[in-house]
Amino acid sequence: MSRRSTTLPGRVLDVLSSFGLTIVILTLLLFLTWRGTLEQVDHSLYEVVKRYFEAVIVMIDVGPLKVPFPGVYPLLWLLSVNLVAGGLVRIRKNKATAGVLIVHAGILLLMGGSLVEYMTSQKGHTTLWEGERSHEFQSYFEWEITVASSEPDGATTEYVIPGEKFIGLGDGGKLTVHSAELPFELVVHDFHKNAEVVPARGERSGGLPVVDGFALLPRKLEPEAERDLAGCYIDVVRKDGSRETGVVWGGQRADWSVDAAGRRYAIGIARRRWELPFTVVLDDFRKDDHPGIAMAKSYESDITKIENGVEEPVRISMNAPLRSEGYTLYQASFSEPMRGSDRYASTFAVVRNPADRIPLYACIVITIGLLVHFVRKLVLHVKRQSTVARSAA
Amino acid sequence: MIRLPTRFHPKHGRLKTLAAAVLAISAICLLTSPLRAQDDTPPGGDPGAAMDESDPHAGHDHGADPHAEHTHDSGGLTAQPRLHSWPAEAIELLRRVPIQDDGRVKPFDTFARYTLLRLNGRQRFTLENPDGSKTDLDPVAWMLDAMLTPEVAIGHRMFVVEDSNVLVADGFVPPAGRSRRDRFSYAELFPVRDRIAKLASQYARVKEQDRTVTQNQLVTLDRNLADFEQLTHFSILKELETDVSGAPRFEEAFDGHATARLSEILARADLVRVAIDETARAHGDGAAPEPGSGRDAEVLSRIARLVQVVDTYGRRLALIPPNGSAADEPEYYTFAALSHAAMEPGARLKPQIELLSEWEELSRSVNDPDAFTAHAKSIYAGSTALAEARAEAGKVGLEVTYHRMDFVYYSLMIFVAAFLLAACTWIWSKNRVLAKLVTFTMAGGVLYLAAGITMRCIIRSRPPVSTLYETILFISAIVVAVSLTAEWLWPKRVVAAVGSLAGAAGMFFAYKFEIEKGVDTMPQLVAVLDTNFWLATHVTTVNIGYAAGLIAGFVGHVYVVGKALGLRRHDDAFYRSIARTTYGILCFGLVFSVVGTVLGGIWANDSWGRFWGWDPKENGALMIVLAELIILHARLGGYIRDWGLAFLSSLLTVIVAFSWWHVNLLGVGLHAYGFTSAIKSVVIGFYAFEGAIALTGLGYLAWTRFGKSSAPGANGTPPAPPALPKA
Repeated sequence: MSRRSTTLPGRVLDVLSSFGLTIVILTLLLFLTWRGTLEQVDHSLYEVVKRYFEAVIVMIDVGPLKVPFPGVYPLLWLLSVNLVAGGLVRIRKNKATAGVLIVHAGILLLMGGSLVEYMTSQKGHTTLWEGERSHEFQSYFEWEITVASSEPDGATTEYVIPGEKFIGLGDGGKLTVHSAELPFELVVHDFHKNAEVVPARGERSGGLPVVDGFALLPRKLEPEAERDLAGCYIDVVRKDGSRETGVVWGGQRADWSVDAAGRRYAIGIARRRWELPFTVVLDDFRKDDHPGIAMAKSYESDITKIENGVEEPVRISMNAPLRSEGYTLYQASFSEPMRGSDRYASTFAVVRNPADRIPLYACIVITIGLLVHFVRKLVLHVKRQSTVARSAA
Repeated sequence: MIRLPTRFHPKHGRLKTLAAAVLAISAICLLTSPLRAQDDTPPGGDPGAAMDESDPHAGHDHGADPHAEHTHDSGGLTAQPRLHSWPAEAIELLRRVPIQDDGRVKPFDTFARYTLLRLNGRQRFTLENPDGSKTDLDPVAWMLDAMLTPEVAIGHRMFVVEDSNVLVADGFVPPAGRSRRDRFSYAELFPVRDRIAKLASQYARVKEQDRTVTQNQLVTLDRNLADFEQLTHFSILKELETDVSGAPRFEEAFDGHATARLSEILARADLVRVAIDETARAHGDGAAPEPGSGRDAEVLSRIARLVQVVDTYGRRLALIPPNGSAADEPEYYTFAALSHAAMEPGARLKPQIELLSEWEELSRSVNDPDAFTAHAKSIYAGSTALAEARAEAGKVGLEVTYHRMDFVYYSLMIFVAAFLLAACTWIWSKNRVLAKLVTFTMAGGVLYLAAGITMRCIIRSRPPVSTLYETILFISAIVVAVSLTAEWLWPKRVVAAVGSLAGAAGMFFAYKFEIEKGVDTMPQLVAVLDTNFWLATHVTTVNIGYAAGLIAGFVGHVYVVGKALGLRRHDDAFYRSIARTTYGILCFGLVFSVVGTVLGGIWANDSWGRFWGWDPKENGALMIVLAELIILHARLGGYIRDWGLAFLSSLLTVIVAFSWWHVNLLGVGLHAYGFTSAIKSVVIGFYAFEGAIALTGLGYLAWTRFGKSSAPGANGTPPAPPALPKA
């Protein structure tokens, strides 16, 4: 490292590129990773990831106190700066540091890939019964409110309120949504990440409105966040001032119907959906157990991928996903046939990740760098030892 | 040869044994019958009665023989003394019989070993003879006792009861002279068997983590008793025959024999099927019965009951390989499955039925060693031929050899010897022969262990590590191999000692882990692990990283403790060398930890669609990488020097233990391999040990920084401990 700077920018750069900062960041990351691991015993992975790894500030109980710590996400940003400043820019560049430079470049590549994944990836799933087809997949965790109306020509128009608009409403929070194309405005309130619709009497139950004899009862978050069923109340305020309140819930079979301006609208809450650039048909699903025991040996799905009218048979199994058009379909789960049927259902995890292959390339770069650095050091050590032995002889 | 006592009277002895067998089986069947909850009278629970009312022994209590010698009478279940020993040749043949258990084909020997281990806590059973002497029973011999002579096996004291007082309240009367924690026989526990089952069923509803030690042990005891009961059902085979005399349709089919065994019935399954069809048709037509058809119907009914008995009690052991390839016909036949398959139209199961016949003959030749051996030979030949046709017999012999070579035990012994030799080099530091002997012993130990690991790879057709048990073997081998290399690079006779000791500790842990789990250490893998590429790359590299982290930490212990105790106080070169060794191993570990962790992410990306999911196991691997990076950057930045490097490396072992074991005990994530309270205790014990080392180090640091001037002793220095020899 170079000498200490005397100017303020220089001093800032000194700090940002210092080993001290590296150690502090790595120690905090180690601590947060440890805490985040233990937290998973009592909280869902989704919650822990949101709280520890994606948050800017993490409040951690230290005895009776709540101590603020930086989250993993800002720490990784800081580490990237530290890595670039200290590990690539200011580091001496010679034979001795060649390996280290390569390693640091590999780590940056890995972190860059992770950032691209974090910012742009779509992750969800699609479940198909044998013979069924789909050209979309849905999120595990994200929700959206949909308003659908049937056009006179039979087509359906769907308006969507993305989850990020209402997910943080909390108790008492309200979101009012207008659209020039809708004859009413929507007021979303009393949103709960996990809830249940229960029969209730009176006008209010537990502080929540009772609608048609039902109220939305908040529930504790599930340890597996994908099991949560979100719900909220929605007030429909028509242009003539009339108001109607309804409950929408992730577990309900049919949407809430509202009539306005001579049309019928279906309002519901559902997991966020994305389109696939191709259609998938599940032709056959097979699950083989090891002989004599109830342990799965393999899961396999034979699918037909249809793209621009071209059909292509593909087999998806554990560790052998389908990669196409930037999307990857993995064998994730299955369902036994329902009573009276012999059709299995297969669930595919679907991921769109532009940085899908970056970790592999980064791994290769890091391995090369580590080998260059440490093999060089080992060779030097052995040479030095031989020299010492010779001079002793 | 069967060894008979001098006063043994063959005829009476056989009768007595048979009577006791019937009683024992009846009692066990009654207890385990699926219908017993509905009816106190065991419908079909007494297989003898179900088979043949004319059987003179059926349904009668012959067990309570007050004159029986050396019997253990316990609440109506009487154990007979062991008056036989199985012919050695037969045991060797049966040991190599391929059977199917836990989803894979394995030698009968492996099945016997792990069943005995689970029930008895050891892979050998020590039999207490009536004269007070003791005999070690081979697992196969023990298994044959349970399967063929349950009237004897119920007297084997093999069930460990941790606290018999728990059962006293329920009417258990421990035999005189037994301690609170002791081994008891099935016959002794029989009076409280129902109570054990009820309590265990109650406790089984509680999560294992939340059960008390006693509750856990009771659940285990109940499972073990149930396992034993299932094994004893095999002995029904020798009683499975039915009277076919006087039935025109069947007499000819069974060559005029008055009785027919299960194998004979299955061999003529076509006839039975036709008889069933015709009887049903005649019944439907309302036609007048033909002469003798009443007896035919009676025999048919007996056959149906016999098949029902087989269906109930012949489900445990899959001993008979089917025809066809392993892909088309993956499951071996149990006797129940064979009965069903043989009754199917067009079934071609001649070799399988012949094999069943040999098992029947074997079960009836308990007291005839020559016949017993002959039938064992036929079973071995028949089973092997069928398995070979399916390409499943090739590794059976190798697996028997693997268990015979007892790699864990002998490696443990070799590593202990290496450690002792290494310790001797501290005393006789100039002795080069001794130093070389240490190297050779360590190399011998690691090669022996590597041979065991290689055999496992061949048997399983898998890379070295695919189960938690295999991580122990592999990491121990790597720890010793890395120590040997480090000793070669930085020869101070310390790393060799540390490595040998760690290797020995690893082998001891593997041994205890095997006992604790009590299951086959070569299980089948879940679907996601069915990829030799990722097992060979990610799993292997990440485990090498664990091994390096551990050995770096253990070498760091020598530095920290040595400094704290003032060993070789003035030998700075010695400590510098230890620190350099630690640093070198740490660098080696970092390469494998980083690469292994990233490879794990790439595998997760290929299997689950995400590179990183903050799963506990992934986090554990990341924590090791972070800790190693902290140590190396702190050294590079001049924040720590040799002592700090050694101290932080010591702490690294805690992180490795957390990642290797603790995350599995959390019961969450995609890598939760099951909670085991005993393993949790070991992990906590390890943390405590490392905590003590850390406190020692911190104490030394505090003393050197703050207390040196005021500490008692000459100039504040502690009394000089015995010095290690100079390098």
